[in-house]
Amino acid sequence: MLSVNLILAVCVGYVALLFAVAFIVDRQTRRRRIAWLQSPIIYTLSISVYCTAWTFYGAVGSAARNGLEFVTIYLGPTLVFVGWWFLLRKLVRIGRNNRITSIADLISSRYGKSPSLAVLVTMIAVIATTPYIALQLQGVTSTFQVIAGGGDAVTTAFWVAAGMALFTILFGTRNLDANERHHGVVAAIALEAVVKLIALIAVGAFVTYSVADGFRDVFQDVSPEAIRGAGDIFGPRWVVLTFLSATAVICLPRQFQVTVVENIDERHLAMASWLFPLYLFGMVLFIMPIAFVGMRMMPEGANPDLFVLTIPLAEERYELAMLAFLGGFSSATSMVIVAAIAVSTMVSNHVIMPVALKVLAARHAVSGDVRSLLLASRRISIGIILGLGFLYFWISGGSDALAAIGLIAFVGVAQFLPSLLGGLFWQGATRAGALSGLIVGFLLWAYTLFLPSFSGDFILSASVLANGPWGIEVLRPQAMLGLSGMDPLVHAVVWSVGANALIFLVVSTLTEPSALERLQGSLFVNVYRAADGGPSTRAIDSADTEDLFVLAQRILGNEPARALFDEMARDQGREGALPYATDAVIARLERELAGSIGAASAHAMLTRITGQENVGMTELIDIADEAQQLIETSRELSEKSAELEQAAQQLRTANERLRALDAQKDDFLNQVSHELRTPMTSIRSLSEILKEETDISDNERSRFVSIIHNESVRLTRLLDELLDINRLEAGTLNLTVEQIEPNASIASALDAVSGLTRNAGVAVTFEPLPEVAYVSANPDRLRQVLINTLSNAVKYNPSEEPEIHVRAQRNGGNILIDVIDNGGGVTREDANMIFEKFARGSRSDLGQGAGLGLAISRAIMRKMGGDLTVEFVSDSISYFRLSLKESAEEATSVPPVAAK
Amino acid sequence: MPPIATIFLIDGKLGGVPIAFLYILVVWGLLIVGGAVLARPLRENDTLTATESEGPEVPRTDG
Repeated sequence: MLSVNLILAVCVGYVALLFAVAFIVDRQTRRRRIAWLQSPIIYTLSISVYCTAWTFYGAVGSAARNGLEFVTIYLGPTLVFVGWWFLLRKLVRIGRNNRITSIADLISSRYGKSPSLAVLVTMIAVIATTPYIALQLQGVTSTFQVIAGGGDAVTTAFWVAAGMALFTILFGTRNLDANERHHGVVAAIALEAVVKLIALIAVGAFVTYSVADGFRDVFQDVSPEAIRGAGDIFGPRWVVLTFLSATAVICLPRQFQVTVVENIDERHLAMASWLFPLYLFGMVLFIMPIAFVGMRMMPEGANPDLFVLTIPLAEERYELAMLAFLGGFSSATSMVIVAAIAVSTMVSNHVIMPVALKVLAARHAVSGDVRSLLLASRRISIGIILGLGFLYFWISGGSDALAAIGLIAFVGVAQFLPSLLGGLFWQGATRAGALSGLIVGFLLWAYTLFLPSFSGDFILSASVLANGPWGIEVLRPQAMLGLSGMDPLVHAVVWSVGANALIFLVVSTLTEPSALERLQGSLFVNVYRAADGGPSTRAIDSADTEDLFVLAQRILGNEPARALFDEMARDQGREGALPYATDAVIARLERELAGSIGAASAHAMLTRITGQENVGMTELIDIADEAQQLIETSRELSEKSAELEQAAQQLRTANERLRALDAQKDDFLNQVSHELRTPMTSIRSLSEILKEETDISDNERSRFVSIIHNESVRLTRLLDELLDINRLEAGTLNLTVEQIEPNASIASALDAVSGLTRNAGVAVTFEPLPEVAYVSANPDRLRQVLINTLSNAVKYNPSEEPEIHVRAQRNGGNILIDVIDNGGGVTREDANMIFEKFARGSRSDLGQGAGLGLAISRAIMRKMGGDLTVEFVSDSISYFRLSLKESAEEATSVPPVAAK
Repeated sequence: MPPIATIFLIDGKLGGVPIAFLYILVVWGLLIVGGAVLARPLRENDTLTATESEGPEVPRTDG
């Protein structure tokens, strides 16, 4: 057994080390040498204040009793941190923008800087934290008794509480830091985090590899039931415990303090997102081996909660036992210190200060009074919190009831969750909703879980617990409305958190947020959009800067207030004078004050000093809201108007198009009638002559028949062409394409028009493709287009020595066939209409053809994926170009054609 | 809980260690690795900001 003196010496030495670390770091902070403190590792280690004596010792006990269930306490925080991007990042951003000092400050600030909400949250935090602190004191005292072999529990607890109070007062209220950051405390907490991790791993490794023979030996005789525990893995209790631990890592005042308030860089969350779960993983790794080896080797009835300590003692490894004790001591003290800071800040800012400020205002206090009062109230609050913790421990006599208080506290602070999440993600959440949800949730928590934990010794008698108040069974605390047979914890969570969330939602939906709530709601919910994210700006035109300065002096002290106002004056270009009380100045001042006394108090003081009551601001924001709504309505109307205008324009365009189509149709019918009437007139008149005149010579008869025949052929061709273009335009003409060689098609077409060219005396030259190439086309139709184009070049060429040059070439994946004549081609004006049906160019005065050839040719080319265009050398000289996509596939069956 | 989550929650041991315990440790480990892998690109996201410069420095009190 270790001597008491040695244990005390080690403890005192360890505490002295913590004091030294905190002192040195604080000094370095004042000298602005805090670079190493800004490491994300320090930040992550400080978050491990989550692991208290309850988890350090109690996890082993939980594993011994309930198997793997203890893991849930670590899984919840793991999930929250892995998903940091969604919640923690937003919390930290809001905390930074609004100089949030505590979770009470956050909730109050979100709901219109409501003092009543701040007080309520503070009260719940105090009630949930006090027994938790008592639990830590119990952890230290009981382990001290084990390791020292005796000692008075109350005395030990008293000195531990006193020591922690001293430490917290010295380093937790050393400065009224604008952001409530405590670098010295954080450094000490980080050191303790390392100690407790090393201690637990050292004990675990010793138990696993020295007492037992590795993991296989540890689990050799362990039954599956012992692993699973009483409840199902992933059953309702598992889910609820994981939910509770996830909630706790956000809502516990101490966790909010280290994660949000002490955060100096959002990027630190990125490392904490995996390093903190890794830390927890390290804490969990040896819990089961310690539990199962302890149950195997320790005498029957040994408390598994103390296996971490009793196994090394039983094995006479006193140095290891001392290390384990220090690990547990670190877990307990770090929790107590941070919880005391967090809760005392809340008590001071939201309970003591508002009352004290009223008193001081009545007495016209001078500069420095408020500041002294603030520090005093913080210190008194710390004393009260730790005093309450000690008192709770003393009165409860360190009973077993304390062991369950960890989870009870988790459910208590889980009441903050609906208001917190609703405030962060729902602009419609209202103060009335948050207040009513919190009150109902808190009362149900107390009724269904907290008071029953005293087993009938406090407020609720054993008879009430068993039969309900006045014998009304449906009101039994642990079987509300007949919901019996449920795990008490699950029952309490379902009722308290469920009712809290439901009432929060319903009341928020039924009530209207005030103007300030709307403003704060918008700032919180849209925090990533807010440029500055500072507190409200307002129009204060009569604020007396002198008064503001006096106020700042009172809260921040003379020098800092002077520095702040000098800086703001410099920003306004008023060096050496006080700044104008602009919106920005007041907003900045409110933010700075909020860092010291909380948002609600800062807001209340500023509105009083500036003579601006909420009413003025409310009206202002209402006006802004109405203006915003008008702008929105106006914008919507403009959009509708633009849509209507657009629809009208589309209708006008469609109408014009229809008119044009109608005119085209009339033109087309006129043209068709004309084209049909001319040959029909000839045929009719000549046939009448042949029928009625009997004295016609044979020669004349023969000539008339020949004309009738020719006109019939012309009519047939015209009808064929009309049919063709109709099918092409309707898309019902199916063209079968194949791989053909353009040179061959051109040569074939030239052959077809050779009679025509010879008769017209046209000199034809052909410049074929220099190498073999292929296109996908219908050979007959391509030939038809070529013949049409060549015929046009012959027929409409006014030159006395007509020439036609046909040129085939490759160009960027296309095969181009140019038909160039020396007649000048079509003019630029004609080019726009030459492809219309029945259109003829101005140079086609010969009156040949129906004017359908080019329209059909272009339609055919486009159908084959190509085109027929007019290319201009100059305004008056042009030629026709057929283009087709070159085919990659070779058609070896088509022989190359030699140049003609 | 979806059945997929409980698929490895079976009685039995692997290398002497209960499979359920191993399963939870592996899932946990994967969460940590996933968090670490995602942390770098997210940390370098330029929307994340450090705290603005500290407010006016407040000297220590006499107490």
